[in-house]
Amino acid sequence: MSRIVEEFTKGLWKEIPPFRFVLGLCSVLAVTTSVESAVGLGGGVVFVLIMSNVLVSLLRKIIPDKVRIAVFIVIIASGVIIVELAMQAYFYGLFQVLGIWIPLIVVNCLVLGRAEAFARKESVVLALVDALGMGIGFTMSLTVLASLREIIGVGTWFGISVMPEWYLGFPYIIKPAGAFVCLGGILAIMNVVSARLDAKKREAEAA
Amino acid sequence: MGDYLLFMLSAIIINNILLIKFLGVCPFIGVSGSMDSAIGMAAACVFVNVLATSLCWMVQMFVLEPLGLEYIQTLAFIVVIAALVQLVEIVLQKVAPPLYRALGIYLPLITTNCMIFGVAVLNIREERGFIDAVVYAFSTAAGFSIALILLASIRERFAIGRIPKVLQGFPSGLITAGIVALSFYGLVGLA
Amino acid sequence: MSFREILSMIVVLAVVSGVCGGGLAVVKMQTAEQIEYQKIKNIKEPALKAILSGYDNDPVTDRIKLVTGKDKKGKDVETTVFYAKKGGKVIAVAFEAYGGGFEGNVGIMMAVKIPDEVLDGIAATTHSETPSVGGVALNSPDFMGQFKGKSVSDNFALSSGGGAINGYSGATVSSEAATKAVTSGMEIFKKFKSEILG
Repeated sequence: MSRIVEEFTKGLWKEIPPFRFVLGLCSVLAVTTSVESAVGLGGGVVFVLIMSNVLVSLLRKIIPDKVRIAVFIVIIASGVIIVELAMQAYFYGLFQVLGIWIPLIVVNCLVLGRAEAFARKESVVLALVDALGMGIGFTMSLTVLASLREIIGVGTWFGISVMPEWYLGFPYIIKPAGAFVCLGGILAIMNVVSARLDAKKREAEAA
Repeated sequence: MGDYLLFMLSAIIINNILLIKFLGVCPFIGVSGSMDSAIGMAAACVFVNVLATSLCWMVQMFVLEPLGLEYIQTLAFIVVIAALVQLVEIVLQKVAPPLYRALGIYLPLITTNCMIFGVAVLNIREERGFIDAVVYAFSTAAGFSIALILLASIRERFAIGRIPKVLQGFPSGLITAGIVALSFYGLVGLA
Repeated sequence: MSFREILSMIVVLAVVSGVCGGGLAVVKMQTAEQIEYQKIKNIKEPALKAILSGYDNDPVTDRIKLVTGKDKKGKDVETTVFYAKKGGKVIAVAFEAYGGGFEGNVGIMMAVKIPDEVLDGIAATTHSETPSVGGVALNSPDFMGQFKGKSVSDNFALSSGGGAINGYSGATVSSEAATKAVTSGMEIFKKFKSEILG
C-alpha cells in the first residue's frame, strides 16, 4: 500500500514533470499561453499516459526486448489518435487551438520515458498509479506555468479578467521568448525551495 | 527563385523552428551543453529531417490518402520515422563507420525529437507539394542547427563563468534560450 | 538470434499493431458522425447564421450531401446543402462553393430563398487572403451585400467583366474569387435543383 502512495506522490513533487523530470518541454512551452489550452493538453497527456502504462505493463512479459520500443510507440500512437478523434468530436474549439500539439503528444518524451523506465518492469496497479501521478503532476505544472503567463501576459485567467482595469498586460511573457524565461525562472525557484527543504530536513535529522 | 529564398529565410530565422515554434526543445536543452555534441546533433537532424519528411510525404500521398486512412497519420508517421532512424543507423554503421562514430549516439534520440515528426505533420497540414516540403524540412533543420550551435557556444562559457547555484543547469540554459529567442523574434515582420 | 525469438518478435508486433488498428477503426467509426457535426458547427455555422434568417430548425442537422463533380484526381467532390425550414417548410437552402483567389481557394457560403430563387446573402467561410486586403473585402457589407436579392440566373461577374457586381477597390483578385465562387455555386444550384428541392 505504501508503495502505491509513494509511486503516486512522487509525480506530484519529488519527480514532478516537467520541472524535475525535464522531459516533454516542447509542448509545455507552446501550449502554456493560456490556461484553457494547458488543461486541455494535460488531459490528453493523462489519457495517453494511463493507456500506454497500463497496456505496456499488461504486456510486459510477452513483449520481446528487441522490439519493445516499436511496440511502445504503436501503443502510444494509438492512444494519441483516440485523443485526437475524441477531441474533434467533443471539444472542437480546443482541438483547433491545440492544433499540431495533439499529434505531438506521441513524441512527448514523458510518455515513452515512463513506459521504458517504469511500466515495463512493474505491475499493472503500480503502472496505473505512476501514470496518474505523473499525468496529474504534468497537468499541474502546465496549469501553474500557464496561469503565470496568462495573468501576467494578458491579465486574464481562463479567459476571465482578473487584473485591475489599468493593467495593460506584459506581452513579452506570452511571446515564445517569455516562455523560456518563465520556465527557467520556475526551475530556479524550485531549486531554491527544495534546497531550503533539504536543509531543514538535515537540521531535523541532526537534532 | 526569390520566393524560395524568402520561404527559406522565413523557415530558418524568422519562424525559427526551435525558438519561435518550440519544436525540438528536448534535444536542444540536452545537448547544447557542449559544442561537439551540438554540431553532431545538428548534422544528424538535418540528415534525418530531410529523409523523414520526404518519406512521410510519400506515405501520406500514396498510402494514407488513397485508402482514406488520414486519421492514422500520427501512427503511420511515427512508425516510419522510427524505422527510418533504425535503418540509417544500420546503414551508416556498415557504409561510413567514421560518420557513424560521430553521429551514432545522437540517432536514437532523434526518434523522439518533436521537430522531425512536427515538420512532417506541418507539411501535410499546410498542403505543401513535394519540393516545397523538402525545402521546408531542410530550412527548418538548418534553423534548428543555427539555434543549437548558438546556444552551445554561449553555454560553453557558462562552464568557466560564475553563475548562481540555483541557476546552474537547466534554468540558465532556458533563460539564455529566452534571450536568444528575443533576438530572433525581433525579425518577425521582415517577411 | 534463435528462430523462436524472431518468430515471437514478429508475432507480437503484428498482433499489437493489428489490435491497435482494429481498435482505432472502431473509435473512428463511433466518432465519425459527431466529428462531422462538430466541424460543420464550428466552421460553417457562423456563416450560416449570418445569411439565413427566419428559420426554426437546426440547419446543421438538416443537411444532405450531393456529388456535384470530380476533382483532378478523379475523386468525387461533394457539396453539402443546408436547409432552413419554418414550420417544416423549406424557406431557403444554403451551400458552399469555391473560387480561386490570391492565396488558394476562397470558400463562400450562399443562401437561396425558396421558392423565389433569389440570393438571401453570402458569407466567406474559408480563405487565406491577406487579412488587411482581401480579408477586408470578404467581410465588407458593402461588397458582400451586393449579392443579396439577385436572382440565381443573374450574371455574377465583376462590372469590369460585364457583370452586375462592383469589385472592392484594392482587392480585385479577392473580389473576383468571391464572384467566381458564387457563379459556380449558382451553376450547381441550377444543375442539381431537382435533387436539392426533391
